Amino acid sequence: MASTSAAVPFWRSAGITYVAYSNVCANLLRNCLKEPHKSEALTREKVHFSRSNWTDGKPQKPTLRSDTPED
Amino acid sequence: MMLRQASRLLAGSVRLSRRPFSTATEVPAAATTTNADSGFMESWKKVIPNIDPPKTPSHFMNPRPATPSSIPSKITVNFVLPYASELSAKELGLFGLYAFLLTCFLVECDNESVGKEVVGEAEVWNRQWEVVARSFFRVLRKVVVPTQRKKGEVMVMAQESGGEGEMVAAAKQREGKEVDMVIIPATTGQMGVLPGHVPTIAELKPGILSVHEGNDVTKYFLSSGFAFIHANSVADVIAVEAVPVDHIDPSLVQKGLTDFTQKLSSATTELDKAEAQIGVDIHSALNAALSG
Repeated sequence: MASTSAAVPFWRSAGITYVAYSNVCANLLRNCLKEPHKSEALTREKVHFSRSNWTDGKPQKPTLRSDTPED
Repeated sequence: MMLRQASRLLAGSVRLSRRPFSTATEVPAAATTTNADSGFMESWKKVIPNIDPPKTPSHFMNPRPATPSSIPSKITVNFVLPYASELSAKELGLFGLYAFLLTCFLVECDNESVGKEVVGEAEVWNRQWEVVARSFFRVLRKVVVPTQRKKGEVMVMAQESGGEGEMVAAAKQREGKEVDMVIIPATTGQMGVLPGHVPTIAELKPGILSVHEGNDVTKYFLSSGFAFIHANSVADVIAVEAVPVDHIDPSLVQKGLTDFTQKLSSATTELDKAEAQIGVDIHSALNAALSG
């Protein structure tokens, strides 16, 4: 097991994971594009998922998350 | 005692019957399977000699180009995005994308060194990740220590990695692009990659990737990602979002920069500060890209 690791990036110490960091960077970049490219890019940002927790082998009420690009 | 003898007898009979089967089934397989699958094939045949082994992902992929004995004159760059490709190559783009996802996973493990410790930790994880974790080590071993390439397990992780779905997307097969040099925006600074570069995995920060071919330079702004440089002078550059520099709107960049600098100064919680800092970083990199 690694002991306390060396220089941790600032986003990691604040609780953001690499995947989240990378997505935030990508979103910010998309927001800075010129018009025709920007609308195409924004379509790529959309995330849709439905999540349900399971207890006793049965799914509970699912939460549907349909994301529009905003943070 | 009976059971033990039974298993021994069974093993014995399997061994005897394996010879006729191995010649019959291996002939078609050998033509297309690389050495990478031999371990899998053997263990399959030991356990299930009567059924043909399934086709592993390696069967469908072309093997990685061998490391040439002398340094080639051009470096092949595969520049892969989840949804499109700028300069990318057959198969190797796929490999790079998976390797990217794997590396994300490892970075999430809070351990940035590629070493046995990582494998140790990774293998302790629950079943769902076990396959993924083993494949990481193999993949990374291939990248960092150029030996023969085993591709079998790599494909599995694409379905299992889930997480934030945007990064998991099918990469198509395309032609490679051979260039003289690429400059990648690694976290440790701008890194120039020439043919014959030491095999490296570099984490990228938001910045410009410049591709130099003869006298032409093409610049792309990358949001973040990884660059894998292999021993055979092939580089895979993977980013979530990459745009040619002309697609960037300067007024939006300025606006974003002022917004985030303001948010940074007024931020209270660690999380807000980190987000504002990310904003400032990327906008200042964009600014530099536009003016540079």
